[in-house]
Amino acid sequence: MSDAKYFGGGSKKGEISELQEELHHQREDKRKEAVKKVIAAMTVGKDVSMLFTDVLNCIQTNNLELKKLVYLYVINHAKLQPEKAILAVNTFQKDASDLNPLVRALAIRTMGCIRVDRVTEYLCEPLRNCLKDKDPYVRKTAALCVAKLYDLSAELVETQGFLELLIQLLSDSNPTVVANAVAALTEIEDISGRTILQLTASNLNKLLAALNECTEWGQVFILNSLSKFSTADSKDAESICERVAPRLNHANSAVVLAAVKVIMSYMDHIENPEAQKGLCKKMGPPLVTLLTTKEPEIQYVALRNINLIVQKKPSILAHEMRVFFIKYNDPIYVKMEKLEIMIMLAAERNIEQVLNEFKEAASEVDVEFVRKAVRAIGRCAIKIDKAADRCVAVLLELIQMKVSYVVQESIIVIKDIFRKYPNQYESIIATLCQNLDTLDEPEAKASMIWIVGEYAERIENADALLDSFLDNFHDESSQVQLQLVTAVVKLFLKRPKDTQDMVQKVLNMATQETDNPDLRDRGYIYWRLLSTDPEAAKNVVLGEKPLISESTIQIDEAMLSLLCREISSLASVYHKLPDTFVTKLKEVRKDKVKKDRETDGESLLPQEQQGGGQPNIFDLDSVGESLPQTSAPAARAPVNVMDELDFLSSPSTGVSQPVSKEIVLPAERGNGMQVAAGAARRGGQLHLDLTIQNQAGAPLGDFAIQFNKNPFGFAPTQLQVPPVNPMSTVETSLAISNHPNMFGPAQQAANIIQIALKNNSGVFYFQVTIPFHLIFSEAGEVSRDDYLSQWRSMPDEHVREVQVAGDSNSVQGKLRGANLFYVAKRTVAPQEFVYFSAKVGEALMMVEVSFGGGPSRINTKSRSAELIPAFEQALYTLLR
Amino acid sequence: MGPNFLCTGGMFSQLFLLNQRGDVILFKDYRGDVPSNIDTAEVFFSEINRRIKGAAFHYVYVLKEGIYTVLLWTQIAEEERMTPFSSIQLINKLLLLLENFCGTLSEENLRKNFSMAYQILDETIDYGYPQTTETNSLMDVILDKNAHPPSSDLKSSGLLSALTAWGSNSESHSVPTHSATSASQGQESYTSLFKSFVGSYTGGLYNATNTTEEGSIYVDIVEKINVILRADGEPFHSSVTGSIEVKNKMRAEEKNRDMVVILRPIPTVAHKKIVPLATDSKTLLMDDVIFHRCALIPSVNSRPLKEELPLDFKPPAGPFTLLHYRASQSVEGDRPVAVPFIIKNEITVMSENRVDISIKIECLLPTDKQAHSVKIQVPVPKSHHINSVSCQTMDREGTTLGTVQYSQETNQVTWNFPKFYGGMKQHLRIKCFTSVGQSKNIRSQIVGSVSVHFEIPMWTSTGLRIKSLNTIHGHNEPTRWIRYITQSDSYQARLG
Repeated sequence: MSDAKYFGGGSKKGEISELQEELHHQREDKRKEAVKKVIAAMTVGKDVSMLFTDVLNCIQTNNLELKKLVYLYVINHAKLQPEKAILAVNTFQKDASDLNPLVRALAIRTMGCIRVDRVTEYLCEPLRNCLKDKDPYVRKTAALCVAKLYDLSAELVETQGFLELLIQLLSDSNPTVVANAVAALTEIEDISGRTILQLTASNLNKLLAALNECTEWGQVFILNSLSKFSTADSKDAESICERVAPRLNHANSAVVLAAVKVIMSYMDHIENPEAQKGLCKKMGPPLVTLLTTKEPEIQYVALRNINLIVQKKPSILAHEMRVFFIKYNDPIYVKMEKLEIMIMLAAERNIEQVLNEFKEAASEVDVEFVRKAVRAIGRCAIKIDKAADRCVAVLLELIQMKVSYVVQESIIVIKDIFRKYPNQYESIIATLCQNLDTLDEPEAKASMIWIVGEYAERIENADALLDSFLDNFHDESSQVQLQLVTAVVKLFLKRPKDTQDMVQKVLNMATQETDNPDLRDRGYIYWRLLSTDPEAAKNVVLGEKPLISESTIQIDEAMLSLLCREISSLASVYHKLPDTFVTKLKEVRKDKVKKDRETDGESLLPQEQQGGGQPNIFDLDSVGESLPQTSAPAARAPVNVMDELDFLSSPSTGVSQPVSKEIVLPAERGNGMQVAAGAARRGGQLHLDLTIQNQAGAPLGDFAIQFNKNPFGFAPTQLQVPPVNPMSTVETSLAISNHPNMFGPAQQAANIIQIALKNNSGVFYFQVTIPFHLIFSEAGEVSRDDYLSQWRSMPDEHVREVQVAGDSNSVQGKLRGANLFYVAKRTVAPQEFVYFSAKVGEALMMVEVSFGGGPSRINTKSRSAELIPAFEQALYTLLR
Repeated sequence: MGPNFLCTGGMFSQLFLLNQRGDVILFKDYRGDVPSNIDTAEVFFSEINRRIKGAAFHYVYVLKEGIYTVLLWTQIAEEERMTPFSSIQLINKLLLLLENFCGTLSEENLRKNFSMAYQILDETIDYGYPQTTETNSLMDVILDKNAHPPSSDLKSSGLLSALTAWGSNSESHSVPTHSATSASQGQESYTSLFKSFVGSYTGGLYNATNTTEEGSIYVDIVEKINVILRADGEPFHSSVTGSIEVKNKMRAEEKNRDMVVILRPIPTVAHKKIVPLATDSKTLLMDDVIFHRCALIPSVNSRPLKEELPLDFKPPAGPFTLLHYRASQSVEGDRPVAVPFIIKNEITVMSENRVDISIKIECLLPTDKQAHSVKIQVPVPKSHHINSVSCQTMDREGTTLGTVQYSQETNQVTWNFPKFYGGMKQHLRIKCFTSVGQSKNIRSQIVGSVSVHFEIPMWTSTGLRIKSLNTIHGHNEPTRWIRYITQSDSYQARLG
């Protein structure tokens, strides 16, 4: 019979009672029909929880399909009705020793999913039996069930010896059982933060033996667990790699990447160069195969991983350059990534091919991509000495095309080439100068001016060229201004006779007529140098500059090794370590375990503040008036004088980053402005720490910020951000207050603020999540009497059921960490009512949490009733 | 993202399938760590539609046949074990399983067989850990063999549509070696036939009652070719990804038989240290080969290479990929990939107001072969630069089969051939007239590359053929259908 009809039905009145009746029907097939109807209703979201006992009634059956359906229902509803779930325990226990292994496994699998404490107690005995079951299907199910139990009660698992049983399963004859045991152990290790699975020779052999036989997913578990080990012994490493290598030819790309990860992490320890070479050879083709998938998203993930691998071991793909050739219809993000990898693979032997590709790319339509292609040519010139001639020739060809952004990008790149190969390519300066008028981007202008200054003695009309810029000196961006000052000084030192007026003029403008402290500083330094000791000035300004080297390797060695251990994960796509974008599982878990065990709830945990201890020097609130406006340049760490004088080094602000931030506005959406944000509480106030990075060509300034109305009424204070130069970064901290006018209904989660950030290039929108534990004010304590009188004056309007992890003591500790303060406790056996206070801005929130005697409830009261839904949402999260 | 108390071990918490209105078709919670008052499907759907990312959950999803299949995490944990790759792989495999057991993927079929679908979700994944995604191993543990609709219900089922699809093409099926030629109506009919054969396995395992299908095994060699040509027609990158797709429709009593297939030329892989026979015409040098689990690989790896490469395999029921391979023009210059088309193009600025684009295409196939549905797309300058475009085909034999169309929206000229015979040469001249004086820079207005789309039946670019296909102890051989097809994946010629 088709099951579709169960979905029709509509919600007639009396439907439930009709179902109820059917569930008790004498004939089993009728009961099965009825249960199917219930499941269908459950799937589409109808409330069928009132039928719990009736459905449970059908569990005693020999019909396996019916049994599975009932179990499905029970899993979904046990959480809401724990006291009723107990009723199913008998059947679970009985089924767990059924003759049919499918039933045994089903029972043990389901029991683990019923997250009700009192059911857990009954789980131990059947689980122990099932772990030793004669049927591997039951054993593999039981293995995972240990992980489920650990999540519910770590203590039970450890005291009842399940860990030992699990470790025994590693020697199981069935590979799938081994794989699941590995998965369970790995999860338990993550939660507990300690090492349970040791890499001993025997364990290793067991895992490697199972690896060949188990399912593809089991292979992924085992490979991932292998990659966490390490060995210093070359022979061991070699034999592990040897035995993992066949997995590279698996049809499932998840297995392939997991195998690559294992090999990459052991390969460093192999001393035999031949063996290393062999492994590299084996890894290449499967990696390329990953790229042949149809979906560009998957290609992108593969490319990002390949990017890491190539940085670590370029030889793996040294001969696969052609695979990365750009197709016209590749999406832009795939093209960019391919370009990046081609630069890394570029070598003397293939440079001709690569340059042709770059030239092709530079004639495409997408401006960003074209610029990147031009930059790629420059990077190759700097990377491969022998290719520099060819690269310069190609760049000249591109300049002849007279496409404005190609010309400008080329000039920027040529400036770098001049830095690397001084006095080799002056012949092209004439061509460059022809394009002087068309330059309108600050970086290109600055580059051109640098070239003119650097080679002033060979450019006859250098003075005229520079002079043409001086008329509009004040309209130029600071990058160009700085460069002009330097170039004119260079010119003066080289041709003092006819440029005296010019240098006077420019130094005047730089020191007297500008507000920019950078420019003033540079002007004064030159001025004093020139006036006190022209010889010294010559030595400083015209001194030999250190050669720049290629920057193909973007990630430093140590970081790269760490990232290679993350191959295939999200970290390998972001190229960031996991702890920069995810919560540290271990720490949170450890906290949780600790709190759960803590009997004395009053011993409060240190307040959970991210980086709250380290004052941020840009925390304008605490530094206050002492650093007005110019704080950014003033705080800049002094660096090498040469670097300071020469614009080629981008200014670094050298600020430590105490708050973990996440990128909320990527540069491609922010018109070149990248914003990272993270929240923290400091000095009794919520702060939003922002890192603004300018990846655009022009300086960014005139910042202003605005919040959308939000459920907690968060409002920004004055945003103070100095102008941000191209390729530099500014950190700032925005104090956040709560204001009733800002209150608005939740767009999504209550703790999400939608933010508009304006700068001189436009308005940009992003959103920031304020962790719930940071929302409440430190000043949330009120006296007991005040609290009680207010509490009594308001009716019980907002009562909700919640899920609470832990008892009243541990909850107190947990909430204290989030600035929810314990006020009083009242016991009406078996229930316990605990009262808390908290403040959102000035608004007092009061809540009563009940424990024991059924599901916990929260009863929230506040005069600012509009805050209650958001407050409740915060509690839901905090209490779990 | 700040600390979050909703923390789990990193495997996903929930899996659900939604239709395009956001209604739940199937929903399974694996870890019980999502607060029960949150309707995650709803949250997901609104986030998808408003294209914003909420903070609470993380998803990986695939939208296929109008169905969203979503994996949901409450937290990306530090030890993230479900990687982007595995997640998508898992979803795809799951959908294949649902299709195998419940019939063509559709909301209707899933609802019809939801009891079975839930069993599949229960068996394939436990606590967020994938267990097995292989049809054969699930057959033992999944019940409800009556799930398929009774014959009276057939009209609406996937089975019937499958049968009609087969029926309508039955002629081409009975003479499989001629199927290519009988599909003379061009791409439409061939593609649909091809799809019903390789792409989707419509019946559902338990529904395979039709006798014409039973007792057969279908083998297709499918190659997708990937070429970049220079303007002068010289290919400078060519590669092929190919696969041997098998659909096993053998009768139950034959189902566990071992089969042996002999391939010619013999695929070898350079890095696998096989006796180097690369120059020998009997071997085919591949970049990478991946065998299905059921194949007994030693024939490639350790057995001494003989005249033939017998590949033993034990075909599981249903469709599977026996061999996935990749070949490309190698550095050394030998070319295991035959290029079916050469395209030369030339752009000439003729005068103040005229640019000509000349396209010459030559088919290198043997004369008894032909490409179907050949579509050549040529970029022309953007329409606001252009006054008119005139196209002229200049065929040497004086006859031309192609039709030419200029589209202002896409700035493209499309040149279509229902068929393109081996050895045929065609020439197209496109004259673009612009306002006077514009032509100087007009070259840079022509962006992109010439791309060609086609399908070539009964021909493989690598020349890989199936020499024989037998059961190992063979009497009562199943009916065997063997076909070859090469499709353009990305076939581009750079502009001159």
